[in-house]
Amino acid sequence: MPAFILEARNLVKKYGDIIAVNDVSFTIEEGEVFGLLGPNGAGKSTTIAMLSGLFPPTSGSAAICGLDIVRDLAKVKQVIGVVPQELALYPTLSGRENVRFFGELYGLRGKTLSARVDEVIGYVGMSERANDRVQTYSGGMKRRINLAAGLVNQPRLLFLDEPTVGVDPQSRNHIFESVERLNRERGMSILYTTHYMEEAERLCHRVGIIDRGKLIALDTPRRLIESLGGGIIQLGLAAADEAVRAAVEALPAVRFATFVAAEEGAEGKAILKIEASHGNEALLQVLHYCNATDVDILSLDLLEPNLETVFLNLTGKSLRD
Amino acid sequence: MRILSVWLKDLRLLLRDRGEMASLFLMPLAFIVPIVLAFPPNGYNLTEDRKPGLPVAVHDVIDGAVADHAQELLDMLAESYALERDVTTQAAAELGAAVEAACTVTGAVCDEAVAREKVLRDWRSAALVIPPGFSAAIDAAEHISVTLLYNPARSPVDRQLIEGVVTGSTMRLSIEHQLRNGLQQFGDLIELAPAEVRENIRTSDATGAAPLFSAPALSVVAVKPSAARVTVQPNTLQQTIPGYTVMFVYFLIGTVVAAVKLERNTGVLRRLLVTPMRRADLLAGKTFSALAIGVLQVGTMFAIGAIGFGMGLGNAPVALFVHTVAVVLSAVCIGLAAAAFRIERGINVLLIVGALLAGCAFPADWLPPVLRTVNIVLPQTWAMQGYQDLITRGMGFVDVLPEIAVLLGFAAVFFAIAVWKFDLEG
Repeated sequence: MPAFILEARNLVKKYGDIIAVNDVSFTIEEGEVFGLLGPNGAGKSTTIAMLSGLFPPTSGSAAICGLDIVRDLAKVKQVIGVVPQELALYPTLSGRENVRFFGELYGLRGKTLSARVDEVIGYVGMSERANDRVQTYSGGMKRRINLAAGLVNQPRLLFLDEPTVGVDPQSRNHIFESVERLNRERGMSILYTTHYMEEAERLCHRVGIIDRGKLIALDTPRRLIESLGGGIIQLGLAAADEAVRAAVEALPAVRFATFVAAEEGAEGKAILKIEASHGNEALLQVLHYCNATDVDILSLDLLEPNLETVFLNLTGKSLRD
Repeated sequence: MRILSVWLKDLRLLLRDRGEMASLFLMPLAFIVPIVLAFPPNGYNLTEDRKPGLPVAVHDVIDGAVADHAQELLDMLAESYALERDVTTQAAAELGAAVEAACTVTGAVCDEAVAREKVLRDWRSAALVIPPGFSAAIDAAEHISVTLLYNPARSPVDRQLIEGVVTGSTMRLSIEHQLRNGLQQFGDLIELAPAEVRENIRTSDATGAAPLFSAPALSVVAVKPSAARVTVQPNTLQQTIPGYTVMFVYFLIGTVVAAVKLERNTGVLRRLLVTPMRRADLLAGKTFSALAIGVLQVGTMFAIGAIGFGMGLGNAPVALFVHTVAVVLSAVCIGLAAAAFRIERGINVLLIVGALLAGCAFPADWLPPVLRTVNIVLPQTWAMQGYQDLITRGMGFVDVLPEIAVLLGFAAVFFAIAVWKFDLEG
């Protein structure tokens, strides 16, 4: 048994001059739910496409269950399941016909296939509507059948590419529960991409944060959040005064302070980003300093520590940008 | 087995797509039924009425002038037909290279070449060739035949009418001449004694004189020109039903492109290609499903033609089936290649133009020679030629092997292109 179910080393994917994935390396352990968190266009889907054999990497390599994704592609395809971001289903076929068809492509036949189809459709809670055409389903129901089609071959490693986009709360919850059960009850390893930090925090054992094709952080959600200390304070000032920044950074409850670019609509304002070791204490010290030195505060944001804030701290922009 | 899965799935998808099914099955009927009902089965050749003349080539020439008895026959025929003997270089050029070559030497040879081409290509029911020595044979009361080239694609009634007129005229010429000879001999006999008369009659063959009464010395031989494959033209049913069937079979190209486009746009194609299925298996499965639809489409149209309108389906059902498979395969594989290159617009316009050039809407022989040469690059041309060989000309499997081979060649080349080009990265 390999130590990791997936090992990606220095993966690069280029389209002409555009680098979609830039030197990405990470591993996934057997039974782990690994999250790739990043905004749209960050390179998450391209990474999954390479790992699932849709196209080869420009450079770098990866192994799944010890099998090289280029050299042993046929074997790799047998042990993975892919749930794409799109609703990759035939609208005029029923949910059951769709799942059955994808099962046949994995070589399943007869009673085994029928039993497997019933099982995965039940797993995603679609037994009652399975014989209706997909075109009659709600977005959430389509997502659930989309998931079922990716599970029909009982993969050892499941790629879930933004599985909750455009989904109603009930179906989203159903998908969360399905992922948790798959991992808990079957020990299935999962690579889960999302730009919703709540999903990554809830589902993933470890999270890699990806932006502009580069993996910029990788750890458990807890450690990533802890890396922020006591949270982030964003202070809107009239000017980017270096003396003010240095004074703030010198405060006991502040770990780090730097001026960042103002968001759209807030031009003319200097944003001082303050990383606190203790949130409330740092806030009091900063307000006291500004009051004592007559520094005008134009705006004040206190950001709670979470993966969204981690991403903001690392990239200077929101996950939904 | 994966090919079978794709085949069954695609077949199910196609059969549930009402728009595509209407386009493939109802559209050809929308053309076929009104045309077949509007024209009588053998009345498709509208040019017939516009060209009532009888082309004539006269080889019986003495010192550049038509010999006397040949001229007599022409005069008789002129009472019934407008005779065409005025060959110009331009007219010859319009009829094709074969005639042009013959017409480098003007005269009877040129006339005969023109007459033959008029039958082959210009929708004449028949043409008459008067051989060399015609007048001399009449004078000598020797047997000689004039030749009537007929177009077997034209109404047999027309041919019989012309043959009747020509036969009647030649009989008249023959009998008149024999009577003149007979009367001349009778007059001579009167001046002789009875014993001498009897002797004269007994030895008339030996003296070289024509017998008093014998079978007509002239006859008409009707022959089909040697290039019969070209000449046999379809009637209304044989033109319309295979024609519009072929036109709409090639609409499968658009059907295949649309199916692949749907899979690409919905992300299904990406999903399919991350399964263990090979790319060639995927394309083969798609090919077989569209093949089944296409064969069903052709079968439906021909069944309607045969049962509903009495169209014959030739003498080689196996060849008809194999040719149909080749036709549909060529269409499907071109569709796969078009899908691989993501050619998604303007396909139907191209298909209609191609169908017109290939002779789907009207006989390809109606086209100018240049287009008749160019259209061999179109699969529809080979499809139509094969169907007309089988249905119109009653040919067999071996005769349509070239058409089948060309169509399978189209299929193989375009399938290979599709496998090579079917990528997803673009």
